Amino acid sequence: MVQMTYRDALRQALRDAMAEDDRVFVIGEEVGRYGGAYGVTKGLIEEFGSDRLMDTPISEAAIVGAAVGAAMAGLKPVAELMYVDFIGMTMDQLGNQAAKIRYMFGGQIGVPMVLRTQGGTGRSAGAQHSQSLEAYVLHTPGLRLAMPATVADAYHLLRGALRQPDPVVFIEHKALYTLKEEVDLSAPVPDWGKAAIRRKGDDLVIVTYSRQVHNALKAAEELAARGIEATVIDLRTLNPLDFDTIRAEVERVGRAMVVSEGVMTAGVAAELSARISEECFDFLHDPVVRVAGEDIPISVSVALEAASVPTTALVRETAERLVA
Amino acid sequence: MTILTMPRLGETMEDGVVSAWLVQPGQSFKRGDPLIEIETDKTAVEFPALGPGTLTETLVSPGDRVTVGDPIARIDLSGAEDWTGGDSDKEEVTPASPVAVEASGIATADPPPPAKEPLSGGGGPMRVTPVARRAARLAGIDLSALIGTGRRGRIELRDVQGHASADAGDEMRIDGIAYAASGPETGVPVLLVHGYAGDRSTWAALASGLARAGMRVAVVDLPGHGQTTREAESPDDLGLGLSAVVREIFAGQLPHVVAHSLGAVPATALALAGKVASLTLIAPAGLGLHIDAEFIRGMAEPASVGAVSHLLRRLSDRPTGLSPDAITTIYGQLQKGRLIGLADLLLGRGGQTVDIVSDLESLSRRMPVRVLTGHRDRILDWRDTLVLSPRVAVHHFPSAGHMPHWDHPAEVLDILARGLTT
Repeated sequence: MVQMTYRDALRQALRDAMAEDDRVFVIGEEVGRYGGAYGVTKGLIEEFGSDRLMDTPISEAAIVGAAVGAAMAGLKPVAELMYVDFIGMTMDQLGNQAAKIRYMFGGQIGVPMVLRTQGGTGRSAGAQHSQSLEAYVLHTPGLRLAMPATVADAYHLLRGALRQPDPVVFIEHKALYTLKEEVDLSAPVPDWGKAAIRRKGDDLVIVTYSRQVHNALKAAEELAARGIEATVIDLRTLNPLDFDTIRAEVERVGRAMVVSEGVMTAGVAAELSARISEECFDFLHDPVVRVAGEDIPISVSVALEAASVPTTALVRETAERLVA
Repeated sequence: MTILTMPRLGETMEDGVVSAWLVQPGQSFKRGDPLIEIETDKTAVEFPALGPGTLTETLVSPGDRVTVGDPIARIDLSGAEDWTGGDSDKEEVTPASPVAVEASGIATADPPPPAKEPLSGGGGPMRVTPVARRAARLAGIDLSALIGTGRRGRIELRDVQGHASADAGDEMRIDGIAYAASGPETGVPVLLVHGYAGDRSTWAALASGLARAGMRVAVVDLPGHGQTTREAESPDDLGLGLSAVVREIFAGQLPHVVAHSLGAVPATALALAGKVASLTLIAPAGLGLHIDAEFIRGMAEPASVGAVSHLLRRLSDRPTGLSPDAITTIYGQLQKGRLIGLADLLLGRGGQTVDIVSDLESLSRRMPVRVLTGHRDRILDWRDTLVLSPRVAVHHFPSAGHMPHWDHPAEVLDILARGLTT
C-alpha cells in the first residue's frame, strides 16, 4: 500500500508504459520541459528524453493529427490536450480520422492512440476551461472513452487505454489531481470496460463517473443516516459501457438516478437515463432521474461555478424526493 | 376581450364552487388582487389576478359549481400583456394554470393543498408504475381491480402485492373459514371483515397499507362468501368460526377489528364476546331501517353481468374501476346463489332486520368504537349514524359512497393507522 495522488498515479502509468514499450511516447503542449499544465509528466523528460516527451507548438490539430499518423505508422502515442474545451480544434483528426480508419480500411489498420485531457469544474477556470464535453466523444462511434474517478483507476485505466487497439479519449478531472488515496497497484482491479460498484444499497442506484462518484458516495453516506441505502456505480469507461452491471443493479433495486457533471440536455445522463428506461422499464418504481450540469456556460465566479454542476446536497435531496 | 376560465387549483380538482366575486363588473384590478373565491372539496382559495385588467362581466354566480376550464368571466386587458396566456384578439377560452399561481407567488392565504387523494380508476388513464404492471401481468391480476395508494393515486408494486396476498392463502382455512395474513407478526393485530357480497379482496389496498404501517393484518372471507366453504343461512351465521380464526392468527392477542357494512354484525358479536381490542365500522349495517333492497336482492340472484355491473356502480362515489372480466367473475360467484337465504332474512319486510345500535352503546363504554360514513352512500343512509352514542367517534366523508376505503383510501388508512396504534 502506498499513498499516492491521482496526478502521481497518471505519471506512474506513463512511466511504466514507456519503460515497458519503446513505441509509447507523449506529445503535446508543455508536456516535456514544463512537465504538463497539471504536472502529470513532470520529470519524465529526464528519464525518457525529448524524443519521447515531445513539446509542440500551440496547435491542437497538429498534436492530434501527428498522433493519428504515428499510431497508423505503428507507434503508441499519448497526445495531450491541456483542456477538453479545445477538443473542437481536433474534431476532424479525432472524429473523421482516428475514429473511422479501422472501418474505412477494412480492419487492416487501426489507430492505437490515447488522447489524454482533463475537464470539469472546480478551479474557477471560466467558461472556456471548465466544460465537461464527454458527450462529444461518446457521440462518435469508433472512439473509446475512459474517465477515472479514483487514484487506482487513474493508473489502471491509463495502462488499459494504452493496450487498446483503438483510439481512447482519456478525460481526467481537474479537481481530482490532488486527490490522495492509499493504493496497492498490484491489487486486482476490474477489467477494462467493467464498471465498479463502489457502494451497495437496496433503495436506489446512482450511476455516475469521474468526480461525481465522490459526490455520490458522500450523498449516499448522508442518505444512509436517513435510512436510504444507495448503490453507487462508477462506470470507469463510458465506451465500452458496462450496461450489464447497470441493468443488474437497477433491476434488483428498481430506482435509478444518473449523475453527470456534463450539461443535462442531450448529455451522457440523458443517454444513460433513456437506456435504463428502455431496458429496465418493467422493474422501475419511478422514472429515472438525471442530475446533471445546468444548461449554461460555467462562470468564473466560485459560487456560480459550484451551483452549475451537481453537488452532494443536490444528489442527496433529489434522492430523498425520489425514494420518498 | 378575454375569457377567464375556472382554474385548476389542485391535481385532482375537477370542478369548484364560486363562493364570491371579490371584484365587481366595471372594476379594475392589478396584479395580485384577489378576483374570486373558489371552494373545492379540499379548500377555499382566493384566486388572484396574474396581471392588470378590468372585469367586464361575470359569467357565473356565487354558489355555481363550475367545471375546470369552463368560462367564469369576461375581462378586458386593455392593451396590457395577456397574463391569462390566451389570445386577446379572439374571444378564446384561456385557463389560468396553477403553475402560474405558484410562480406569481401571490396566491394567498390558503394555497391549495398538495394533491394527495388517490384516484386511480377514477376515470382517465390509470397511473401504474412499470414494476407494478409487470407484477400484475405475471400474477394474472387485473389492474383495474386495484386501488392505487401511491403518489397521485398510482398503483405501485405494494398494491399489487397486497392484492395478491389478499387473494392468496386459499389453503389457509380454519373451520372452513378462508383467511390470509400479512405484515410483521409482532405488529399491532388488525382483523378486516368485509361486507355483504364482498370478500377479502375488497380490502387489498387498505390491508397492504396497514401492513406497511407495521401492523399484523388478517383478512377473512365470511361464511357464504369468497373461498370460505361454510354457508351463512342468517346474519347471525356470519360470525361462525371467526373467533377460532382470531385465536389462530393472533395467538391470543385481541385484535382491532375493522368491519364494513354487514360485516359490522359479526364484528360486533365478536366484540361482545370480549375478543376485540377496538371496533371500527365502515358504513355499518344495523343502524336503521333504510337499505337498498334492490342491491341486496340483485346481488343474491343476479340477473345478468350487466345487472351486477349496474349494482356495483352504486357502491362507490366514483367508477369502481372493475374490468368487464372482473365483473363477469363476480357474476359467476354470485350465481351460485349462496346469498339468497341471507338476503331474505336480512331484508325482512320493512327494511333492515339487524340492529346493533344498543350493542354499540354498551361496547363504547368498554372499548374505542368508531364509525366511518360516506354521505353519498347509496346502499345505506349515513344519517342513521346520528343515532349513535356520543361515545362513538363518527368520521364523516362528505364525498364518499358506501366504500369510503375505496373512495378515500389515504384518509381511511390515516385514521386507522393513527387510531389503532395510539
